[in-house]
Amino acid sequence: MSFEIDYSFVAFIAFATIALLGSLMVVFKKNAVSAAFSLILVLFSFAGIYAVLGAHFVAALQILIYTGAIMVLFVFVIMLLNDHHTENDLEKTGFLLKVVTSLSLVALGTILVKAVYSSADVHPTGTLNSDEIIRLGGSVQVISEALFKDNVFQFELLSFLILAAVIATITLAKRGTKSSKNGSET
Amino acid sequence: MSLMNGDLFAPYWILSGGILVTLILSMIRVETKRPAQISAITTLLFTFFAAEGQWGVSTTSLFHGAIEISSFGMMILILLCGLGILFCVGSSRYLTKEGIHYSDYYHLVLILILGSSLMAAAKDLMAFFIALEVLSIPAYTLVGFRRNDSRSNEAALKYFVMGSVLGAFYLFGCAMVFGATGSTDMSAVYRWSQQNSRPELLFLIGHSLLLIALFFKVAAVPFHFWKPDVYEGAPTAVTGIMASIVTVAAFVGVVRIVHLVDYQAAGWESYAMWIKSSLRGLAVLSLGYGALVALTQTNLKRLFAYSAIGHTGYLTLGVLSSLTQSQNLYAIWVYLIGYSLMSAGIFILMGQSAPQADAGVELIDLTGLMKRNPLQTVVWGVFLCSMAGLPFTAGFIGKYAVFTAGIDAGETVFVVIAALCVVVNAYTYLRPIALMVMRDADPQAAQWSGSVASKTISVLIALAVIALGVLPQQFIVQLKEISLSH
Repeated sequence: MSFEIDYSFVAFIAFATIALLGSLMVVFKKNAVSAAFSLILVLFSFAGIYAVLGAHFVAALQILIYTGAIMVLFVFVIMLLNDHHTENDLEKTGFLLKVVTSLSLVALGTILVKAVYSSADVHPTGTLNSDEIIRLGGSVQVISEALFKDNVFQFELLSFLILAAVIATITLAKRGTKSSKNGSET
Repeated sequence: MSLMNGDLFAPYWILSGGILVTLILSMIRVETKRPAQISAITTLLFTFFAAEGQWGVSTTSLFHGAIEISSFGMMILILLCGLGILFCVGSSRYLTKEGIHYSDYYHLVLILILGSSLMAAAKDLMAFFIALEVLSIPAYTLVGFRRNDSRSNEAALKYFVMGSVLGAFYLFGCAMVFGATGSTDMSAVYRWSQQNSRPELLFLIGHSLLLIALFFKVAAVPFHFWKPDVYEGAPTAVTGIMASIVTVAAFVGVVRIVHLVDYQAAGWESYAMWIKSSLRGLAVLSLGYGALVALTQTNLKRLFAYSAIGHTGYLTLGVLSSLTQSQNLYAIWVYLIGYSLMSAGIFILMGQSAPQADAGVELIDLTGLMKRNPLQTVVWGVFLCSMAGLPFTAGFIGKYAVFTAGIDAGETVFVVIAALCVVVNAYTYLRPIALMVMRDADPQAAQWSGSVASKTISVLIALAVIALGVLPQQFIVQLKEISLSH
């Protein structure tokens, strides 16, 4: 008699639990730095979930980009702003608002659970299962094919999104409080 | 279907190339904003004519189905370029007066138009989302353009946070639609709905989330609360852009997302009923709320924000009637074109008032305008009559088209409710006219002056509004030929 343990399921449950707890901590931690570190936990367990699903390349990217680069920026900004204001706004919220929020959360949760149950018989019609990915030469190959061939328009459009974001940042950040009256600065 | 067809994509190439040229030209001399302004206007003109040259093109899908070139997309591009030219020409004096005349204004307006027009062309939910963001980021920035003004900052932050939340809604909905149908391609989702006679709960939730995201963008009533603050906080020229260009883009998005599935397909009757009753609810709430709250406003920007919520109601009625018969879509385009023109006109006109630091134009500033400035009074009168939907204006034709479409679709009760709201609205719009004509100028009333450019632009828009109202036949015939492809 042998026990068949579905390790990927165990791993999924573990990572999902960490991600959920981590997100709650992001919301409820009073200290901005510990909230940011909880976010690292969340993003890391996302990488774990991707790995369980077989998307190892995405998992590696997740750790490199989110856990590595973006979170460093977060912590850096927190350091620069150096905000000592750690008061919890939740205590100022009215009782009615709390009740309404909790009720709507419960309702939303119920719907989601129902949706997940009813989705058991849904099968995505896509062609890329894990065997197919291996046959095509691994995740990197498949992702670059998808990125630069099938979705090349979306990819190129993103460059305009970044351009817009750069102009927006310069517009909002560069203009100091000084001497901007006559609009001579750009 | 081909990967790239240079000729067909030409209008968008010109627009995106023009953005880069404008960026480079504005760096030549920092002190003057003329190069950026002229380059932006030239770009928009070229795009306008390139798009007009492709009017009547047969629908072609490009970039592996990410976007399609069609008469519909070209119509939206022509409209948006036209509106863009109006704002680029008509708002430089206003921006100088406010001390915010930077080249960035023109860059952001061009990128905003690129995003809006690609949103109309997108046939893939992800391309649609990126286009929506390309539209949104310039919009947030333009709203916060008066960087040293706390109201402008508040409005920009509020708009940004709301926009990000709705982006999350959209992506969540996208994931669910993808889970249910296995594709983010709109045509594939449409085919799926025809073949699959059982709407899954997963799809229903996903589709609803997408719709909520888009109805946030158009500010239909339960999702409207950001609109008055954003309209009031934004610089007047930008409020005009929000009321015309962004409204057009957002409604194009609503139409695209609502028509994601085939409502006539077998097994989708109850789903169609569900979507219809939600749209009825949104339409009636927006109409009633917009009409009643606008009555009590004294700040003109807030007044037009609430009136915009009411107009969202009429447009939602048009969307509702297009569910029963898709040829009714023309009513939405007729209404949108008229509405965006008169909104652009109103806010360019409002930018000609003199209050420093843009404290906001109040109703009192209009008093006695007839004696002080007859030309502006007449132009104001044309726009306000058009907003109220009086005959011989574009506003009348728009309402007429929407109401006929509603009756065709069997939504008579809602047409009657909408007609009642027109009556309530009439008071809101005719009161400023009475103040201008019948009252003497209040001592506190602002002076009105404007550059020749902005005056010419507002007179031209007023003439266009009347022309559409007097001779709508040819125009409606053209718009009736436009259909959404699936």
